[in-house]
Amino acid sequence: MANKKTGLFLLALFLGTLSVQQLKAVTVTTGNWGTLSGPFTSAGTLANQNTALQANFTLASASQLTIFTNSYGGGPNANGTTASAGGFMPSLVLYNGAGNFVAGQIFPSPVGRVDPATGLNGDSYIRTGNLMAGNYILAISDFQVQQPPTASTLADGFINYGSGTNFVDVQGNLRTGAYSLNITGANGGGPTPTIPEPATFWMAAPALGIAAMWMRRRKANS
Amino acid sequence: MKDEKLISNLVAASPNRRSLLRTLGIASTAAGAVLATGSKLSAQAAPPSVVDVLQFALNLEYLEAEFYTIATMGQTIDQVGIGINGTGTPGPTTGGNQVNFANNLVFTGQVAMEIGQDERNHVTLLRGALTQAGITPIAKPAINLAALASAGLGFGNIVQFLALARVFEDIGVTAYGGAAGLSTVANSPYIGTAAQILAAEAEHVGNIRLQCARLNVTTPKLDGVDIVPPPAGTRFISVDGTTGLSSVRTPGQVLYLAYGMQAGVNRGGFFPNGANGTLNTSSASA
Repeated sequence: MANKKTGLFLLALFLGTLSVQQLKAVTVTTGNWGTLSGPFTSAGTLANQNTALQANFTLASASQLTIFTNSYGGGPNANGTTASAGGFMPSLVLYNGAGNFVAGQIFPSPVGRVDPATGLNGDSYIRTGNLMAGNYILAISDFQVQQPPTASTLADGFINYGSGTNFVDVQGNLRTGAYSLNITGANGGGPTPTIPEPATFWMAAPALGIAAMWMRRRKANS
Repeated sequence: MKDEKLISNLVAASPNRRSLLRTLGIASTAAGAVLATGSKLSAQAAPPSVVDVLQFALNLEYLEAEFYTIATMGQTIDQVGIGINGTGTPGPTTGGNQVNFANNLVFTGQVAMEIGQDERNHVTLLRGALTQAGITPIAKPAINLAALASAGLGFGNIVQFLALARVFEDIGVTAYGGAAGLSTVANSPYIGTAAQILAAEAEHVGNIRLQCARLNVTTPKLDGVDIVPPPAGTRFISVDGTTGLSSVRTPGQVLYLAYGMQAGVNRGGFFPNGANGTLNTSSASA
């Protein structure tokens, strides 16, 4: 009886795991950044929201990398240039040369800026552990373009939870296809962006307009 | 006894008495007696000691900590500095690998990292509490993380990972809920910490269940008190809709699931050589 119940349980589990939402396939474009040394910046534009960029690069020695975008909120690039705000909300995923997952993240970036047009921090950030020398692949895409949850490696491709045409952020604000991607720490090359301490509530209150609301309420009550 | 009268009154007033009794974790024969006669509950068997309960909980924390640590870091908990030695029969952790957390639609990888850190902290906390009380913690028993791999629950991808995480987290919440109701735990200095761990596990299960729903990860019903999340079930939150309460399980009912749905045994499933400590035998399912 236990064996029959266990067998039915296992069958139900197996059938359940086959049930996966069918979504749009994604166009993958490739790039090659060569062997990284020192702070690195790559800026460009994705042709449309249904695209993922896979860029290969090599580390000549063991390195701990900081990978971050600043194209959503704008800000300084690792190469000394400055990114403008307005780009899409990116997803960053790092794989080793064999296509196995190393690290991945979407918003918010702890070093990202808030886009004044939207009030959102939509940039992405990865801080890796110590990576061995070798080949790696970084995928950058709109945050709605992800590997399917059934994917085992990079070779399983991407799906698109979004429209396929326009870039919009998580609150529906229209964005451009621009990205500005930075990598520091390769072969010991910095500097690594400093993560600021979180602001306390009362320090952030004026920016949130909370102090103004409190003053208005106090005035109304007096 | 005051507690029995309170429970009897609650049952009599409940619009769904059978569901309430199941939620309170009362044995089926006693529940049947109450429903049939409305009489007071018969005296319960002596509850396990608080030390036995903490040691039992440590088995489950070892299991969860290993699951998340291997899934997120590709390492076992001792490889990342967590103590695992102690009394009982130690054993290796087998099965499992780092999961491809490349789908970040609902922050799966980041959540898994946080939960893994919590579970490792729970192992350290329980071991520390026992040691401070002059009790040697149990050693990590042998753990087989591939126990349900053939059914597609494990480490092959996010779907498999979330399906197994849902099982572990819902079992964990009900185990702590059941333990908190034992008089030996409720009257001990550990009740506050147990409540905090229960709250942490509830945070975990709520997040994991929402991820299952959002990513369409089907998980089947485990036993009579299991509340299945969407898409297979209807409730996002792991709470009985008629009582507003989380389910509870006894250690025996937990081990029924952990041992691969076998009753009256002391090994199997995720614990191939059995759990360590005195609470190591499975009962009938909840």
